Parts: sequence; structure tokens; C-alpha cells
Amino acid sequence: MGSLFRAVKESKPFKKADLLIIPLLMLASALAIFLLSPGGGSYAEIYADGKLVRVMPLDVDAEFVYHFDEGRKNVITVKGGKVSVSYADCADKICTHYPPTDRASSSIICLPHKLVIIVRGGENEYDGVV
Amino acid sequence: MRSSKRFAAVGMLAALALIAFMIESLLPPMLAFAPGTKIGFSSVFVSLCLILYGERDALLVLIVKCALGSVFSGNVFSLYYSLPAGLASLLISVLLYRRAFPKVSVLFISVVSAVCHNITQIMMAWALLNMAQVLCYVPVVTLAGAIAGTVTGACVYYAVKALPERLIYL
Amino acid sequence: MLKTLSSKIALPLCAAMFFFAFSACQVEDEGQFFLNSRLEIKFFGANREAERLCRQEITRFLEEFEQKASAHLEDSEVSKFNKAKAGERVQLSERVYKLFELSMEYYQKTGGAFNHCLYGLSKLWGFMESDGIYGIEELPSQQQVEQLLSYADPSLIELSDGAAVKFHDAVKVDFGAVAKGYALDVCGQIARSYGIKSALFNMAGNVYAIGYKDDGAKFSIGITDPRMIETGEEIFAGVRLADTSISVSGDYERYFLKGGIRYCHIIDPFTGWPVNTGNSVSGIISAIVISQNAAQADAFSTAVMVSGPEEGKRLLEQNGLCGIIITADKKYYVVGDVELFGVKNYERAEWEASFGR
Repeated sequence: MGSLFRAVKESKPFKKADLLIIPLLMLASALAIFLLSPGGGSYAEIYADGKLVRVMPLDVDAEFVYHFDEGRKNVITVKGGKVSVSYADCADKICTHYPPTDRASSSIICLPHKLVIIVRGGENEYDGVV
Repeated sequence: MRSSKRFAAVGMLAALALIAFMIESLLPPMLAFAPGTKIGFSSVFVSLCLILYGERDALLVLIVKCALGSVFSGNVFSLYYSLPAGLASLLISVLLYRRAFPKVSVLFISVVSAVCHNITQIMMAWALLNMAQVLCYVPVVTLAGAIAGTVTGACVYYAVKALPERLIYL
Repeated sequence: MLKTLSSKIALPLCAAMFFFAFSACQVEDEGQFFLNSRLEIKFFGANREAERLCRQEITRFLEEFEQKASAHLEDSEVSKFNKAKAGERVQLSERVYKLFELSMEYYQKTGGAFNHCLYGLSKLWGFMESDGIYGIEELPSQQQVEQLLSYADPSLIELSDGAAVKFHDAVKVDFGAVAKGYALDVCGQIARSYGIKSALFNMAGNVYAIGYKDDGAKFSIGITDPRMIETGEEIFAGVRLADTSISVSGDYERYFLKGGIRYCHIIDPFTGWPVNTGNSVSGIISAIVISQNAAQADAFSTAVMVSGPEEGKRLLEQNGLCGIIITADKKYYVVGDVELFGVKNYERAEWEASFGR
């Protein structure tokens, strides 16, 4: 049963191919992230369990409370042109770790509360939307 | 064949995996650009178990870590995505160690299994929320997985290098 | 061994992380903010230096003006006035005094539909949150509303020599319905003083256009669909305009739902209730006003919201303004000459013979 163990012990930490593949993978994904963020969001859509329940424009500071159920809630805050989850009492609170965003098609997810916030807008033919 | 010493060793790996998991959950998020992802130091112990004692015991360590980890951290919901992700990454590791190793390195296997772990989490989120928007996170978690896998891979490799054979071989 | 590790793995790793970190924290223009709203400025000329200086001066102006005019800031002149006792003379800086004067003028011109003394009522209905969540748990009683309503009376304020005096302690002002428009007028003056001939200012429901676009065309401004959640469309329609301003008031900007009823931040000064609730039935969900004077457009869009289609039309026509009125039954009315295009999901309604007397 020690054959794999011995084999690993004798192996080199990395292969020549790794020097190519792994950084390439990192750069490729970093590039994909970079390209997929067009920027310039104008409003945030709030979906609860797949259904759109609220739209918040990003140019007005405001807050919206989403009640998941008895006493469980998320507070979605728009401030300084960006949206974030400022308070959540869900099991993991991962949603509160997202940095405030205003990039179109970026999203914030609270999985335990089935909440998805998507930033949209900016891509239309108008010089300004009022 | 199984001996009680081995049983104890596997038990210790499971305990270490659990402790690593708990400590990591207390630390601030390491990979800030990818919320919800971690370096996953507990997976180092799962991989170690795989290398030392094989897939059955590794699976045991994984299940113990996921089950008890979710209970102790008060987040049973996390089992929904952590268990499938852990299973997927273990499966990939097993396949690669059996079939591809030593043509591929420990580092490579670590990176691939970390990326698989993260992508599986995204898939589980997609299944629950039913919104394609979630898939936008694939590149983000891939990068996070690549970084995490590099770190844990190095840990696994140097741990194996450092462990004397007579101590482990049971 | 460690050397190979650092040079061959760590280096590309760090490079990748740097690349990502760098792209993630792109340095952006800080943006201008005023009264909890973001101002977006687009210049269409070619004089970068003038534009840069103009932006700087506008940022300074907005910061200073907010310090003086915000009802949320404890030390602002407006807060001083609100906290003052009856008979106490509160000295005001030039621009804040102008806000008081303009508001009084609009109060008279709209027959009371525009009212700058609704601070107490706004607070009662939970819309004066400076850092909390707006909306309230329980609806106020009619008594509470009527009590505050009695002090929502601009004639209880006397203006003279750059100072304001109130005749009752409880008279409190909030310029939320006109300050942004006024600020845009000042921004327009600043921009023009730098020789800027073509620019677009957009601040939370108010747009101010200087001149035409650089190719001589009018600006196309999209108007938010007040029921975007239902229709799935961001835009109701587009308006073409140049060298003027447009202001939108709607019940979708700040609101909370309770018992299936939408309580929005626009309070009807005649009933003390948010428009379209209680005894206030205007039926309008969004009012759009076009005027060369942005403060006027801002104030009148609120006044029209509260007044209903017929009275709203009358107010606009009486003051030589044009606009659009969108009603709850998914119809819209046009007042005056408006270049409207691309209307989606709403039906144009014509003024009936009984309207517009």
C-alpha cells in the first residue's frame, strides 16, 4: 500500500509542463474575468427565488430589506453608486463579503436565502437615462 | 490490511482536516476577488490520506470533514455544496493519481482538483437558483482554484517528502 | 529546492495575481455626489483642460452646498433652521436663502402642490432615513398626520435680508424636491463660465443639457419605466432635447410596500399621506417636466405628481412648461411640445374634452 507514497516521494514537485499550464490557466481565467466586466451599471435587479422583486437605481443611495422568512433577512444597500449586501443573517454570510459593485452583469449571491442581485444597464442608445 | 495503527492514523488525519477547516473558517477570506472560495487547507489532509492509505480512507476523511465541519461551524446548509464539491475533487484526484501520475505532478493534480471543487460549487448554486447568471463566476473560481491548488499542492508534496516511510507504512 | 520553488512557481503566480489585482482595482474618477445621489457629467466638447477644471469646481461646489443645504447633516444651515425656535432669526448663505426663495415662489405658483415644509411628514412616513432603512413598521395615525400637516405651511416662514424666521417651532423644511434641480442650474452656470458649449449632467432623476451634442444633434434621454419590474423594460420612452433640463418624479424611486399598497416618498401636502395612498388619489405614477430652469422642472415634477392629470396639465401650461404624465392605468399624457419616441408598453391617452379647463 505504500507504492503511491513512495512514488510521490520520489517525484519532482512540478514538471516543466506545469510551468506553462498552471500560469496559463491563471492568466486565462484572469483575462476572462477582465473581459467579462463591461462596467457602467445603472441599476441593480434583486431576484428572490428566481423572481424579480425590486429594482434599485444605482445613482440614488437607498436600502432595501429582503425578508427571507421569519426574522431572516438581507439588507441590500446602494451607496456611492455601488450596490452591496450590508447585512445578512444567513448561515454563511458570504454575500456580505462581496465588495460593493457597479459593474454591469456582475452579481452578488446569497445561496441560503436564494437571493441574487444583478447589476444591469448602461448599454442602450440614450445619452442619459432619467 | 487494516490495522489499528492505521485506523488511528486515518482518524488523526480526519481530525486534522476538521481542525484545519474550522481554523480556516475563522480567518478572513483569503481570496477576496472570489467570495465563498478558500485555500482549503483541509484538503491537504484528504490528499495526504489518499496518497498514504488510498481512496477509501480518503473518502472517509472527506466525509468526516464535511459532515462535522458543517455541524460545528453552525452551517449545515453548506453541506449542499461542500460535499458534492469535495467528492468531485476527490474523484478527479483519484483518477489522476491512478492513471496519469507520475506523468503529471502532484502540483498539477492539486490544481485540477481545486478547480473542479470550485466549479462543482458553482454548479450546485446553479442547480438551486436556476439562474444562468451564476455561471459568470466560473472564471473567477477557476483562478481562485488555481491559486489554492498551487498552495495546497506544495503543502502535500513537501509533507510527503518530509514524512519518514517507517512511520507511515502500516 | 526552495529557490526553484520561488523562481519557477512563485514568480508566475505572483505575476498572475498582480495582473488580476491591478485590473480589479481600476482607478476611476471618484464621481460627484450630492444629497445621496450620484452626478454623472458627460462633456461633448474637446477642451479637456476646461472640462477638468470645471469638474473640480463642480465637486467643490457640491461638497460645500451639501454641507449647508442637507436636512440630514446636523450642522447644516437647513438643520439649524429646523432646530430653531419660533422667532429666531437664522442667517443663511446666499444659495440656501435662494432655495427658500425659490421654494416659496414655486409653492405659490403650484397652488401649494409643491411644498418645502414636509420634513416632519417625510420623517413620519420613514423617508428621512440618513443611514437607516426607510419605511416604517406601522402606519401613523390620522391624528399624527394632521398634527404635522398643520405645520407644513410655508406661509409660517418669513424671509428677509438673507435670513429666515419661522412662526412656529415645528416648522421644518426639506429641499429634497428642488435642491438637485437648483444644484444643476448652478453646475450649468459653472460649466458655461468655462466656455463649455456641450455637456450633459445627470443626477438621480434630473438631467441638465447644455447646448447640443457635438454633431449638432439633440440629446436623447431615456425615461425610466415606472413599472420596470412588471414590464421587464428599463425604458418607457425617449425624449429628444437640447439646452434645457428634464426632471422626473415617480412612485418607484423610494417606496415600501405594506398590505399590497405602495407608500412612496412623495407626500401629498394637502392630505399628509404619500401620493396615491389614504385620501390622496392623483393616479399618477410618474411625472416628467421639461424646463430651461432645472430647479423649476424639479419642483414642478413633484407638484404634478401630487395634482393629478388635469390639474397637472393646467399647472404646466400656466407656467409655459411641457411634460409627460404617466398614470397607474398604464397610459400617458403629453403636455405641450415634447419630442417623444420609442414608447414601449404604455398607451397614449388624449386629453378629454372635460380636461384642461
